[in-house]
Amino acid sequence: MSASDDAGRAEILGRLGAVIEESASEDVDWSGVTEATTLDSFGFDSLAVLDLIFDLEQEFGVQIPAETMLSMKTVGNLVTFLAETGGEEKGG
Amino acid sequence: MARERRRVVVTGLGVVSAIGVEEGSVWASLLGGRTGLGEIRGFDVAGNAVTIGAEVDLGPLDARQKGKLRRADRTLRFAVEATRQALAGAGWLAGEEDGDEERGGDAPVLPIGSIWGCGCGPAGTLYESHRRFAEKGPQGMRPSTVPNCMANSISAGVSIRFRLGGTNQVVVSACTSSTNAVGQGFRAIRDGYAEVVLCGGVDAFFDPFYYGVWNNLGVLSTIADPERALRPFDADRAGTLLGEGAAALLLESAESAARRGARARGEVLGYGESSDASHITSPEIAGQVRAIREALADAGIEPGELAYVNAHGTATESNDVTESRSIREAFGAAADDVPVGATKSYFGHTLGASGTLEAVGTLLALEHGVAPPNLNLDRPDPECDLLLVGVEPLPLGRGPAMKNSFGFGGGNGVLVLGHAGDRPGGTRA
Repeated sequence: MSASDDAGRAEILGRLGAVIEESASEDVDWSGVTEATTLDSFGFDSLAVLDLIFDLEQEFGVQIPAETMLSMKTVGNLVTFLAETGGEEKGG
Repeated sequence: MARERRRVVVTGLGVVSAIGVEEGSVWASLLGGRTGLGEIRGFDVAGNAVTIGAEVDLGPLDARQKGKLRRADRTLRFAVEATRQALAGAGWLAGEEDGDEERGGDAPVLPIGSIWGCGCGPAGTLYESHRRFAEKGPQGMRPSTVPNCMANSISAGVSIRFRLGGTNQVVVSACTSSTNAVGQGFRAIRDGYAEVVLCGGVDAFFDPFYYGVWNNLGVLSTIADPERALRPFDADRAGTLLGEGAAALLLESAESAARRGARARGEVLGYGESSDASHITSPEIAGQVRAIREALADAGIEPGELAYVNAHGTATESNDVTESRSIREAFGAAADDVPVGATKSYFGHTLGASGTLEAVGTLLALEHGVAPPNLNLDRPDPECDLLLVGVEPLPLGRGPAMKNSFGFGGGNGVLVLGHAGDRPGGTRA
């Protein structure tokens, strides 16, 4: 993995923080979150998952099928998905 | 065949208000004549002619509430805290994490209903959702906007968080909402449909839209000094002022309370309701009198047996004069002897919460045998021909109290509340 890939993943991880804090059931200390952190640990219920998908689609300009979201286990899985499908700065 | 009428007692009280976020501080403020009204700080009031309101200090809630609840609408946060206090006080949370605001998804469902009165719904969420819609169109609307904007998100949120498995509904009738909620819960228990019902009231609407439209309605007091601005029954009154808050009364059949060994804090003795059926905002004597008489008949008492009336008392001329004439007409000569007080000068007009907030104050007044002062009643309006509580606390005689709520829309609700020791043969503790 190149340094620029690492920088890209770190940038996506940072943007994820604000989105997940908005949808999570528990208060999130994002400074302690790594790519190994499980998505379950944020306590999303089914409605919160819909909000999370909505917020991620807005922030990253991607389409995320619900089954894709549910198949992801860790923050790292989500970062990989966003890096591969978009992850560009939101336009406008 | 007529059903047996069962006694309905109050075993728990919860309160979230500008004068306190638990009953002890609320009572100290009421007895000490301390208003919760002040300059509004929660949002930018620039452009409004009136800038005063009674805001809740979120500090105690921030210290207790965590996670998603902390980011929930203020109405739900207030309702959850009032519920927690009422359930804990009634002993329903004993053996669990006392002080925790939620019982959790694994806790057993409790046989308790949840009926809330709310005039405006989750106003902060509605405001924010409409603002996002105006800014971004449909792309601004998160999926959870639908359930979060429902008026019954309040009773639902309480039911889910405390696992209350009885009825779950919100009554919407403006300033009468939560008095209607108590009336519904009272009747359900009295007539054998339920054993325990949490009856609450809540409203929290200090946002640029809602506060602005109330300003433009022209009923808010233009007196600049917050301590003097809300003056029920005073000749120099200038209108009402808004407040936010919540209160909850845990109603329970006397049998259930006795079985659990729960202490009764008071009793609901009667309830009456009516509609003016005349005008959306102007109150009418005939409708109010029907509700008052129905409540008294329901309780089986004469007006002269009342120790205290906690009036709707908004400090608008329209309300105060109409309510005074209604009480006089319903009570007859007894109106000369029953002290009448109003406590919106402390809480502000909390709309859908006002019925239960002021009912909690009324139950505390019965418990202590003292009526809170009528703040700012320096020059009683001769048009309000009642025995008004003065500007000092007034010792009360024995007997039940009446709580009036008369709302926009013409809905009237009246409760007769008793001290736990005021049953025939009972004694005041």
